[in-house]
Amino acid sequence: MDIDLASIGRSALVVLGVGVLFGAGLPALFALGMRALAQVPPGHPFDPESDDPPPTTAAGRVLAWLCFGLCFLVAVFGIVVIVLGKQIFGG
Amino acid sequence: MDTVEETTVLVLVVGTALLFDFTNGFHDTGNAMATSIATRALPPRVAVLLSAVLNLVGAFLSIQVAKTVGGDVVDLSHAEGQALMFIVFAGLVGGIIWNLLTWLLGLPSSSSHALFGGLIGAALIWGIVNGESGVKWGSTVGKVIIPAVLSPVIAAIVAAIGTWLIYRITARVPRHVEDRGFRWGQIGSASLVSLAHGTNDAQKTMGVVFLALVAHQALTPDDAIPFWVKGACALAIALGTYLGGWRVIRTLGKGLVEIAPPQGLAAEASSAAIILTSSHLGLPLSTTHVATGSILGTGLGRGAEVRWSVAGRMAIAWLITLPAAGVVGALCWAIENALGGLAGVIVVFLILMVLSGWMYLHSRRTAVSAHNVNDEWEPAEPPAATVLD
Repeated sequence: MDIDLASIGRSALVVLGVGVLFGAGLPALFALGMRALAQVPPGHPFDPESDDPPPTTAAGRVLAWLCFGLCFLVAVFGIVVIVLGKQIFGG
Repeated sequence: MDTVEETTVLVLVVGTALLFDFTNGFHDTGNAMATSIATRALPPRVAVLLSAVLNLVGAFLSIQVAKTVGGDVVDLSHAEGQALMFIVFAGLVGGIIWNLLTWLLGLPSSSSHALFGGLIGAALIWGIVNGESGVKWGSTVGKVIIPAVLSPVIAAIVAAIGTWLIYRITARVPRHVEDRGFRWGQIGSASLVSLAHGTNDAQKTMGVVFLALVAHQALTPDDAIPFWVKGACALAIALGTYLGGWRVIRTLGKGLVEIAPPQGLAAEASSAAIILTSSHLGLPLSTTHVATGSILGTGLGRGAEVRWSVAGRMAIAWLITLPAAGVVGALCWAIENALGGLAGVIVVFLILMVLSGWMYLHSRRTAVSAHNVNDEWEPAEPPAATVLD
């Protein structure tokens, strides 16, 4: 039996790190976009249960679409990894 | 064996490989789409159609197909021609039977493990009979078993962090706005998982069919994979996906934890990130183990109730997948070897058909379909629990 536990452990930590960066980072970025989109102008009453669409500030909208755009770009990069993964990473 | 018999064996092996590919598709639909179906981001039928199309596209995107199958678990370099064909066939049958049984029980389990288990069982007994060492034990433990134990844990941590961050960041966003937005994110991330699944899993069957063609001497190991092999494998996995393994989807989407759209995004993003990168980072992980870990993690990250009894049954299924499929694979090989030649292969194929038919009929008793996949999990016990009583 020839099992390299150290190398498996290292790989696991790298996968965890990359996973947190993209797998948790992107949803957080998306959430920031959602928050920016729901930016309530000063003085507007806040009601989390309300069914009315919230007013959005212009700055909020720009920030939101920046976040969504970045998420989209990373997703496109994901497709590139699917198609060309072996060329990029080798092996 | 004469040429006609050899060709018949080849046809049966290729057909069985495509059948495995098909079960691989419907067993794993839930990995990508269970959360989107559970949160009603997509209607069930649309979700499986989207996933099927992306699996089809993904299968064609695999430009560098591994021409060996199970190279990490078995050493078949000393098995040639019919001997190789027998081992591969027995392994496939072991994989299919285990896939169908776990589907009947509504348990997500790894199709790769089922195939590996079947191959290990067949190669082990072939090795014992022929005085060869057919199984690479060290590499099986290091590249299959340990990663399988680690993957749900890693996925759960990532998804839990993602879920926690989302809920913290959007605490002051009106709930319905949030849900609408996150449903879109969910569909996008689930689509990535489907695409990656098509690329990874269809490749395995392409490798099996290629191996059979080489054993039959229709191809040499240096030939390129013929287009019809790619096309047939892509279609088989896509059709399987479209059929929708509703029993598994239900367990993943409703059974493990209750999922809201933000959690769905966190789970699928975690799965996509890990599946896409792990194989390139030296830790090849099973889609099923990652997806299940992610869904579990998203429940933990929100502090929601996790049905540990369901999780426990899954864990047991994972533990016994390799040995159980291995036993079936070994039995099939023994039958083939005892009867010899075409007769052995045909008898094993008939056994496969009878068992598949039996399991299908059993599944009709507590049918799960697009109509009831989202029904409340409680208070009724999961349909799977009573099926085999």
